Amino acid sequence: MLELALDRRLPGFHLRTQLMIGDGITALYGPSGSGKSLTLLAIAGLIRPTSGTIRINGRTVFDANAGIDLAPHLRRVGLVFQEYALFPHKTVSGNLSFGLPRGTPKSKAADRVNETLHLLRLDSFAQHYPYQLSGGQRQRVALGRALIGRPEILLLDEPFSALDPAVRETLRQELLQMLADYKGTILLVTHDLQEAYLMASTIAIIDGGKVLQMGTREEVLHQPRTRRVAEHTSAKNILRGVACRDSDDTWDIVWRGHHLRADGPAPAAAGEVEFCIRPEDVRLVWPDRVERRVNLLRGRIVHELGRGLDYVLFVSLTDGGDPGKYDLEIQVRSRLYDLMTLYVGKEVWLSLPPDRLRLLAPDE
Amino acid sequence: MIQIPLAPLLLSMKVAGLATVAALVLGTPIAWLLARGRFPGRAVLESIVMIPLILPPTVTGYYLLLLIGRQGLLGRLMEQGLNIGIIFTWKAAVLASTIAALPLFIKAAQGAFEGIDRRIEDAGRTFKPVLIVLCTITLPLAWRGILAGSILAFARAMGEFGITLMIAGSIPGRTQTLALAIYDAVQANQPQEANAMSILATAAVLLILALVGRMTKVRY
Repeated sequence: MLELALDRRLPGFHLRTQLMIGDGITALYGPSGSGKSLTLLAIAGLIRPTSGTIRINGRTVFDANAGIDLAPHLRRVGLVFQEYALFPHKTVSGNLSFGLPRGTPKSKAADRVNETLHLLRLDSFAQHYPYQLSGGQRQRVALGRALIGRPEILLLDEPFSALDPAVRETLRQELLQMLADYKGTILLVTHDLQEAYLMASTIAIIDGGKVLQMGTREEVLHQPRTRRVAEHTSAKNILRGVACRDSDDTWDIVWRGHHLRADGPAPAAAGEVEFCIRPEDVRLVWPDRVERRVNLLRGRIVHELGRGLDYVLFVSLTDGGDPGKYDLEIQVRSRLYDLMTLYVGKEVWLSLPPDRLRLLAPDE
Repeated sequence: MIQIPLAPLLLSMKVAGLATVAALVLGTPIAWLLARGRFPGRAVLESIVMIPLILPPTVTGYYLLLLIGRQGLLGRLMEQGLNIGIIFTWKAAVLASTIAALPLFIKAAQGAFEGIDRRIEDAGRTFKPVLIVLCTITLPLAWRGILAGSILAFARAMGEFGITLMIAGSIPGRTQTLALAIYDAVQANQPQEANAMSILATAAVLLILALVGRMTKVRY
């Protein structure tokens, strides 16, 4: 369990992160320069926040007001760096044993190193130097070095960025398997939403030095709170309309002259609002099933992008003014694309499921 | 058969060796500070360190003479308080060579420290106290640069002439180093001795370079 509230001013950047994360894997997701790596460094004690507190399992490791600032090696934090930062002049064994606390008896240290080597399937590489290893092996050494001292919290800074895209997929699975036995808090920093979703059960979105939203991965993906979160999670269709409340959890949004129903609690007030729907949530409707659908719209495909497994279609409403421009971005599987014989210029029926329409709160 | 005067060579080796050690001991912390430190006056320190490289050696020597001479600020203190006079002794020659060698050593060592990926040191700090990281990670990684700096320092110290002449003089058998002895031999029209000592100096330096080259085969 990690609780932190940080404040650190840098030239042109203001970090003020607040986080409370439990055991298991949490992803800190944001674009580069959002302050996510800085947050990790602060937790590890490698940079000093101007003010704030950091608590690990209830133990205060930093408190600016109380003058507490534990040295990095006393915090019981394991940190896996981007590009791994292995010691180039030490062997795999040497790198691993450096992670053991001082005063570990020699025989016990050797046991722990061998145990870790075995766990990482690096038994035959004990005497190799980092430059003799593949990217995946280096990652395993870095992970082993961070975990060998049994830290209470494990920090992973973009652990896959140094790897070929081709091996990333396999190594993500591998890392998850290796982390399955770790009983502690894991904070993974990434700028890849898919990676965050795949690896973590909880996602915190950070940008401009602030945590914008944190929740389960489904929540963050499907219930963005603000426009900025929606942009960061690629909701794509961020629209503007006028909303009024129908009942407790139903809203009526007027968009381009159409009345749309939106279900679910909304963080917004009535009036002019922004709302969004993800490209994969927009439904294409077979012409013979039109009567049964709500939030029905008619549009024309103005542009398409074939991506192999799926298509991205850009649709402009038929009663919309500007031709050429599109109103909605839709993602459909290639199979459906073929079944419905879609093509650029074709007119289609669309439905926006009310539970997928999400009203957005104004950005702070 | 001419007599090859070995005394200047031996004195030069002793002076240059001690000056190299002094540059290493003084220069390493300064180089580290310049490479990693964030403190006010860093730029000033960096300039001060470089002064002996820029000033004419005789000028540096003259300032040192004013400082440590019998009437100098430091010289008087040391002579009266500690009863140590270093002016015109071999100790002054060591001081002269150290001052001359220090900037070269610091530049090389500073480059070595700056070349270390900071994250590697940071990774070390998450496991061990700063001092242990310095000894087991930083210094071993900077070792080649520090050694290169030491070789430069030794070479510069062997060749030291101007500052040494100003504060140590050229007293045969006492402060007459190889560089000074060769000059004196030429002045005294003794070409054989000048030849012999020059060849000796060249051979000695080449031998040291070869030894150091063998020692520094690095695997990673």
